[in-house]
Amino acid sequence: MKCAGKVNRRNFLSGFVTLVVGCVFQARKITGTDRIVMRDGWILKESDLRDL
Amino acid sequence: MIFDDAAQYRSSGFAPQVAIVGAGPAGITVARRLAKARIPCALLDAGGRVYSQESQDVYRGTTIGDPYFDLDATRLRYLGGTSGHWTGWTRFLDPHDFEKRDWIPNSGWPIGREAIEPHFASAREILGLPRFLDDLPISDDISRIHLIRSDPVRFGAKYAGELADSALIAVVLNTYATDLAAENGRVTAANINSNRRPAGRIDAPRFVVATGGIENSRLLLWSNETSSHPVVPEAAALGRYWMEHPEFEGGDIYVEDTGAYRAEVDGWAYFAPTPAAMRLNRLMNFHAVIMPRRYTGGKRLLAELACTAPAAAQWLAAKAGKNLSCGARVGLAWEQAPLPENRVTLSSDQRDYAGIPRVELHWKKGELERRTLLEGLKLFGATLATKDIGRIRIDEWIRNGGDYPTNQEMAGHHHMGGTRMSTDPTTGVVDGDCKVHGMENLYVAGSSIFTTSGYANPTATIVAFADRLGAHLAETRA
Repeated sequence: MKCAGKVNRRNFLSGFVTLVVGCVFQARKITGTDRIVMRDGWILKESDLRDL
Repeated sequence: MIFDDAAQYRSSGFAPQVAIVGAGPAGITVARRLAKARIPCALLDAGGRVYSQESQDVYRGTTIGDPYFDLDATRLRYLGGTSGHWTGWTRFLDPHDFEKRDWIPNSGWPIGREAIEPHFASAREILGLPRFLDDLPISDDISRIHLIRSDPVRFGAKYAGELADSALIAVVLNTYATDLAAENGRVTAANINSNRRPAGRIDAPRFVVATGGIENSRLLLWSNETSSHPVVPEAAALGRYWMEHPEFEGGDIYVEDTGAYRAEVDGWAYFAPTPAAMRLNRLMNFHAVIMPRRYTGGKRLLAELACTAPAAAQWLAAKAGKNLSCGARVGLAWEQAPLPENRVTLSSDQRDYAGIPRVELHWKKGELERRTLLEGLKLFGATLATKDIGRIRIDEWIRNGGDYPTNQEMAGHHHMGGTRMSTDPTTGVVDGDCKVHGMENLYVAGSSIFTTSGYANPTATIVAFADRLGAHLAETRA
C-alpha cells in the first residue's frame, strides 16, 4: 500500500490513523497529469481519489 | 501639555499652527511629527484620559444591512482612541493594493505605495514593530506572508508622558469638536463642547480631522450641514465607499506537512494570493490562515481522524465523551470592493447629548467578495494539495451560497473609507496629500482616507500615512 512508507515516518498512533482512514491524503509528488478536483468540499488531487 | 478642558487650554494662551481633532494613533502621530518640526499644534480629544461610558455613549449608532458590531463597541473615545482595542496584528498594505484593477470597481489610488514607504521606518518605531519579512511564493498562486502580531501600542498610555512634557503639543481633553466652520475655501474654526457644555470655538491656521474611520465622515457630514460655507465643497463621495475586512472561518484543513511552512503565532500561518493569481482569477486581495487546534495525545488523534473521517471521529469522540473537530481550521479575511452604497450617514432622528445626529452605517458584503471567498479557498486548497502540505474541505455554506455564519467574528473592526483618496472629487474626498478637495487648510488622517482596503490590519498603514501627513504639513508651513 502506498501509504506504508509514510507511516514509517510518523509515530505509531498518528500513522495508524493515517493508514486506516487517511491514506487518501498521503503525501506523494504530484504527477504531470494529476489534476486538482473538488469532492464533497475537499480540494484533492485526482490521484487521491484513485487510491480510495 | 495636557489640559483637562477647553477653559484650561484657553487660559494658557497657546497659539497652535495646526489643530488636530482626535487623539488616536493618527492624530498623535501627526502631532508628534509636527512637534519634531517645531510646529505648535492643539490636539483635541472628546474623551478623557481613560475610558468612560458617558463619553462612549456618543458612539452609539445604527447599522443597516449585514450584521455588524455595536458602533459604540467597535471603537473607543478617549485619549489614544481605538488603539485600546488593537490586538497587535498588522502589516503594511501591499503595493498591488494601490493599483487600478479593472475587475474591482473604484480601485486605484492616486499614489503608489512608494509614497508612504519612506515612512515605514517611523511607523515601525512608533509601533515597536520588527521588519516585515518578504512574501515567499510557494506556488504561482499563493505566497506565505508575514503578518506581525506585535505587543499592541496603546497610544494614550505610551505617549501621555511625552505629550504632557511637550511645549509644542497642547492636548485638550474632554473637548468634543462637534463641527467645523468654513469660509471661502478655508476652515476657520472648530466649534466645541467641553465637559459636555458648549464652549465656543478653537481657531488655527490649519486643521486635521483624525477622529476615526467612522467619525471622520460624521464630523464632516454634519459640518457641511451647519457651516454657512461648505467644509467639503465637493461632497458626492463624503461618507461613501466605506469598507471593512470581513473575516470568517471557511473550512477544515488536514495538515500533512507542517514543516512546509513557518507558523507565526500559536502555530498560525498566513498565506495570500500572488498578484498574478488575483489578476488571472479576477479576485480581490485576501489572506488565508491555518489555525491548528491545541490538541495533544488522544485528543490530537481524534482531531486528525475528524479531518479525514468525520463520521467515525464523531462516533469515537462521543464514546470518549469528547467534542472534537478537525485538527485545524482555515480562516479567511478579505478586501471589500469600495462601493458608494456602503456608507456613513447621519441619523434623521437619533442625536447625542450635544444634539449631533448619530451615525447610521450602511454596510453589506457583495458578490465579488463571495466569489473571492470561494475561489480563494479553492486556490489555497489547490496549492496545499499540489505541494502536499495538506488538504482543505471548504465549508458547505461557502460552496452552496448559504448565509454567512452568525456565530463568528464577522469582521476585523477595521473602519476604512468615507473620506477616501482620489484625484476625482466625485469619487473621493481628499487628494494625494490627504487635503480635502477644494479646501486650502483642511486635511484628513486615518483609515477613512483609504481608497481600497487590501486585507492587512490597518494600524501600520494608518501610522505611516499620518507620519507622511505630519511631514507634509511641516514642509508646507506658512
